[in-house]
Amino acid sequence: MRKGKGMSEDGEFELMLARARGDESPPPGFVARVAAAGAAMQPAPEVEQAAMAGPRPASGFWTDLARAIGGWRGAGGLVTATVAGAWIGLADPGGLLMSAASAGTVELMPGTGDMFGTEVGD
Amino acid sequence: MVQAADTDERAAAPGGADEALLRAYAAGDASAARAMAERFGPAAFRFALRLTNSRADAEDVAQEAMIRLYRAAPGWRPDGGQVTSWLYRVIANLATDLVRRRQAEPIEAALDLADGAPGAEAWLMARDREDALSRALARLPDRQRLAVVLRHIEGLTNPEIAAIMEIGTEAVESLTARGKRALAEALAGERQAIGYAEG
Repeated sequence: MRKGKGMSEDGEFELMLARARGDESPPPGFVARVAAAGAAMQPAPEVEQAAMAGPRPASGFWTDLARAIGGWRGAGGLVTATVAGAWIGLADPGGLLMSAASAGTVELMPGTGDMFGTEVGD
Repeated sequence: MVQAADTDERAAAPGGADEALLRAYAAGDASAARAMAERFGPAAFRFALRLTNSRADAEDVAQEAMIRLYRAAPGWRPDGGQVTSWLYRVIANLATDLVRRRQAEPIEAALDLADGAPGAEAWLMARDREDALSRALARLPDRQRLAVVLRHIEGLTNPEIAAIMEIGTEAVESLTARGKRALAEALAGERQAIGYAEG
């Protein structure tokens, strides 16, 4: 009978589908491999992250200013440039611009040639 | 710890325990990676197997999907849908891409004989009846196969399938009905081919 055959096929069909449910376990070691991959890419615990981050940087006018000029290295360079400028000003830089314009060599500190034990020739 | 997260109120909601597990993983809980692998891994493999019809491909697909889940865990939003739906969707996409690539390869490469099998011929004979369903499934169009596997093998509801496939529930009903009909016809052909009725 057509109806009987249909019911039989339906039952067989359902049986195959049922057999397919949950009877396919993953290969040995699959879960362990997945877990290892997950552990390898896991973020560090929050406490460790906080410890690694260190104390929060201070903020304020001087801190912001120091940060703006490049930290202690930038400040050091700025101080050196300032001292050098003051030294040039005190050591009478007369003729500096004229020398620069007319000669290949520039005498930055006229009259102080032997200060460092060297002779500045003319 | 994961156990502490399980007591969270949201853990009582559908999928809440899954999300709690992801939060525990993102927070650095040392046991969470293993717990996630045990919770989602076997189902991911089984689902991938039904879509790829190959244990080696299923393992690759399931592992890649799990790695994507681990990667997504820190940014997981509780309102972004269920974890299992997300995982199934990733697997479906990966498996579909893989099957399409496999179809362009020589047939020998698609046989995927298991390591340690007692010989190709014997293995194929032993697996014939069990593989009839897999072969019949493989003949279905991608979306029909996905809908049939999710509905009749994974046992998901139509709304869950709709979320995974990103279509409406009516479209799911249509796909599963057509898929089941096509699967029954394909199985009838398989039965004749392997002498299933006499077995």
